[in-house]
Amino acid sequence: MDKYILRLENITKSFPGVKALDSIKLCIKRGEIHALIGENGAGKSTLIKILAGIYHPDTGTIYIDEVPITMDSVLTSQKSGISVIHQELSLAENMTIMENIYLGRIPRRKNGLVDDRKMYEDTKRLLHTVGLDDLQPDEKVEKLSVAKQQMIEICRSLSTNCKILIMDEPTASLAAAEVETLIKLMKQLKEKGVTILFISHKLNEIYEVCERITVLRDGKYIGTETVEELSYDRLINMMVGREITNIFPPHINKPGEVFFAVNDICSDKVRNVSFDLRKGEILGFYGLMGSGRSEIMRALLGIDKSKKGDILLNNEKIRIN
Amino acid sequence: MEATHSGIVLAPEDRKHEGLILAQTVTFNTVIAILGKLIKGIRLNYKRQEKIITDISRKLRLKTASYDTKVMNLSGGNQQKVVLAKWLVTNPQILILDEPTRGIDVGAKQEIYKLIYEIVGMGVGVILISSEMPEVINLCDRVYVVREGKITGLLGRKDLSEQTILKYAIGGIGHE
Repeated sequence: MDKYILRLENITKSFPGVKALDSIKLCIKRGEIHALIGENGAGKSTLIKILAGIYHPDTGTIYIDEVPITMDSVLTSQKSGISVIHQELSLAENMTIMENIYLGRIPRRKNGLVDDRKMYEDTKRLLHTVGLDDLQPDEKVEKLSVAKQQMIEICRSLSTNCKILIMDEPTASLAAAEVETLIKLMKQLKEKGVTILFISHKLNEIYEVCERITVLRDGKYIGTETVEELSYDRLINMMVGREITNIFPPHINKPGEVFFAVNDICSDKVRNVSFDLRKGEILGFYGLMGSGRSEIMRALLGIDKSKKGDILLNNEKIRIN
Repeated sequence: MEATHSGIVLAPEDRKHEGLILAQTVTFNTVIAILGKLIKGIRLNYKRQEKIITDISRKLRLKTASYDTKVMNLSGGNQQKVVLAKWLVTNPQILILDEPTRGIDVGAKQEIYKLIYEIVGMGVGVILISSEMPEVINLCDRVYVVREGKITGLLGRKDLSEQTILKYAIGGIGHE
């Protein structure tokens, strides 16, 4: 058998005004869990969309089992054995688990009627594989937690007999215990011979499950290393070094005194955040996608309910909720 | 007290859905947050409305055919300016900008940067949420780094480098 189940060569993709991907290469070995990492805007999402058949590359070749494939549609991608778990879940919430799994390819009996029993039993088996024995295939999806819905998506991928499972930041919206379950499942899937491309910002997870890491930066391929050989410091060095074009006016700013202070606010997605702001200051909030920056502001403004903490504006407490 | 009344305003990341009413005019979008102040009894003070719009669009160098143009017909950069205009006319003390340069071209970005300096020049405190490392490094006086809903670092202007920011943003191995 070939060593690489998926190989990309010289993939380039431009959008008006930006080169999102520039001669990217990527080699995924059969049966490995491979991490794809890069700062915001490094090109990960574009690359995934190309593999999913949503975008079409301007140049370059995709090989699956060393056979060149023209990835011209989502269907081609699915037929070649690629299945993508997108960051945003894509289940139809008002349908049942089994309907979601078989959406678009509902099994039929000879007389043309829906083969409910086959659907039910196959779904039951799939749910068992991912350790969700307590769920019934005819339960509606809307009642399930995000973590469980994600598992249902994985079931759907498995039901298509996918060879390559692409997971785009699957742990971003999960709690710690749920992450552990997912990681365990990823390891099980690997044992079963599924190859996984894992996109994550969380180094803990990457170093726990992955064999190799590919780093992208500014739409360019930087390198692929095994986790054993890639130290944390070197990984950071591979990720930084974006070209800074000089479009910035000179920094002449002189901030005044502190007039706004946030103490220890918490919401569902924000944990004990405190900060202060000066008059005339430009105060930055940086974080990778999904880090919770916007959520901090939402809690601050009372869009999301904040559970505790207080906010002082000009030394006066303001209530926001 | 609501946040807007206390002078804290947010220009959201998703300006097309949360920041603007695309099918409405520049005028409508600009005054919508201060309509209460422009209406007396059942009359709208047109004179005052026009003055407010002329002033703010001059200040922001807004490029539009007329103030009756629908904002969906403006470029991304000019749409972003209308979002800024809408909040600046409320005389905020704090302006939160969530990814203000996403999806606009380099020229428009540069304009937005200049505007940010002008806004802080008026004494307004600006909170800039950005995923663009160069933006954060070049514009900000201080930067808070956020990871998993927590603040993991505060960096002053002298300490701002990609390396340091990323270390806080991504977290170490094993010390969770």
